[in-house]
Amino acid sequence: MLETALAWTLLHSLWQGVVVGVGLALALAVMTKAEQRARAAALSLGALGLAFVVTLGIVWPQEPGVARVVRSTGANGVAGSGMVVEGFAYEAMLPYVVPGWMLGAGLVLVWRVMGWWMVRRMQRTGVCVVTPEWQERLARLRERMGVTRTVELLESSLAQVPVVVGHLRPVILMPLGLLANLPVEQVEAILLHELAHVRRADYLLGMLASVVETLLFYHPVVWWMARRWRMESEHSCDDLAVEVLGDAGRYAAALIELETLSGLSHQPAVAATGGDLMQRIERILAPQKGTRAPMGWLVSGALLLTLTAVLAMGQAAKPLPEGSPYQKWVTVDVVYIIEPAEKEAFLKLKSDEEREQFIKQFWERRNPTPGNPGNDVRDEHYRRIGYANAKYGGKVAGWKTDRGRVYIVNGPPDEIEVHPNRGTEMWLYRSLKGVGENAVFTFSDAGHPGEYTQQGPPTLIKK
Amino acid sequence: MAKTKIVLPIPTDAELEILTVLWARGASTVREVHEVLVARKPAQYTTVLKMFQIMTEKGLVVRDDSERAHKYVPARPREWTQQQLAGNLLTRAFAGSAASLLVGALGSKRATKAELAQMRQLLEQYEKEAK
Repeated sequence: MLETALAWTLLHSLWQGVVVGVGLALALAVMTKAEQRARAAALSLGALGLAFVVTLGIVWPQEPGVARVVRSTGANGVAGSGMVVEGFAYEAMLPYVVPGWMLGAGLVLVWRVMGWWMVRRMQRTGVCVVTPEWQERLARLRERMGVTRTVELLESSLAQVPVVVGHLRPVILMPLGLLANLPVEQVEAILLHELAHVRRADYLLGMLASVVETLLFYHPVVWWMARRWRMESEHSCDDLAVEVLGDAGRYAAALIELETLSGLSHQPAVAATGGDLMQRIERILAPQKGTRAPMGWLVSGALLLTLTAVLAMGQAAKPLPEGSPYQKWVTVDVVYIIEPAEKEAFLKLKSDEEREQFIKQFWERRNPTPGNPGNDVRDEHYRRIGYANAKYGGKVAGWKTDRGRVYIVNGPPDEIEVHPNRGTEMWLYRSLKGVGENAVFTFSDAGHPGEYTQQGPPTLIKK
Repeated sequence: MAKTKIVLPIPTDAELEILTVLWARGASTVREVHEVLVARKPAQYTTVLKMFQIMTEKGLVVRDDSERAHKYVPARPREWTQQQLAGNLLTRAFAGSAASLLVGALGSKRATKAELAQMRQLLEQYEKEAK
């Protein structure tokens, strides 16, 4: 059931974020180049986004019965069986997790879409092509920066600072007046920074990052990763621009002048997204520190691989290979009577021999005559499955139906009362372990003739 | 006597485009503006001419008849319009969202005067040592 699966996915995302976050922190400590760090941060964000989808894919198809258990707190509907609510403390939170997330993610989505719409508007309105002179300069700069895509340069009355918009057809928007008021050299230095962003496909990466940021809007580790990625991207672009320009001083001067000019227009300050300029200037002008281990890339690569492995293994339930008889055993044969702890243990087994051994012990624990070769409980259990499939099967297999389930778990009822005019069927069990005396299950096929569904937990009647 | 404040209408997208050309290229004739507009997307000269007439009526542009070729200038400098465009409460609310998608040479937060002075100092030092 989707809602339960989503709730579990969201809960899993909490520890997944911490694990990947620790990995990123280690990688950042080891790597020396901004480009590497930016890549590590981007990969970490991607990993969390992927983990979200993968976890959802794994959790969703599991245990159709769990959904019903989670819904009907008190689990009286299936007496004394393995369908007890799992003992996590945060079971109680589950009903609120998904609606809360949908509200939050919805609001964030609206906020982002509005921003995106504004960005699109910037590309199309209040723009003016630049003179052929500038087109030529741009073409030469593109060559130097190694950008093959066609990039358009426009003056914009809506942009407050120079920005790059778009991925397939990138546009550099220069605030009006900059081209006229800054020395050509400095404008070119700034354009190199913008072209570096184009070369690194930062606009596209930014959009992908915001998808992850929206899905996992509640996760502080994601906020940190996104901020870190943006910062390291700016530093990467600075490095590229300085490399192509060949003069760190001139580049820094251009940024400082640009900042001065931008500050004069008294625009209201908005939450910072670009790097802190002070930090960037210091970095650009700082003498190159001796490069640490070039193995940095290798080490962090190994770290990330280990992390992915841990993530993969850490998944609560590792699915057995499709179609294996053991898969069938745990999801069909004993699904209603196996305890969660038993199930968890079974799924962790690695070899078929272990699984055979487990199954033997499983039935032995329930054997009324331990040590004897015959096992009445097991025989009866399979008889009940057969009966349920034959008697209650229809569109859905008999064992999957409500009546089938109750039959398999509790055995044949002591009395059955059928009301065809009302479309109900009532089963009485004189004594049911874990429920009480004279427990009555009511099934009804109202609304879906032929398909009987259980109407709430069993009631105890006074006879 | 009370000071009269002239309130100019917010330009439409098409009007904004024309204003942008005027801000970028300075006082221009209709023909010059049309040439620049056409470089980006098709536009009829007559349409542009009509727009100028409407904009003059609205007070967004002023016609300068001093020379033989009639040139137009924007009624207000671009900073004024930027304020007007950004002043909308809605745009302010989502400006942060837009900013988070944009990549550029500078962030949205402006440096203080003290920081700028410090940066210039660092630069000076760097240039000195480079020599």
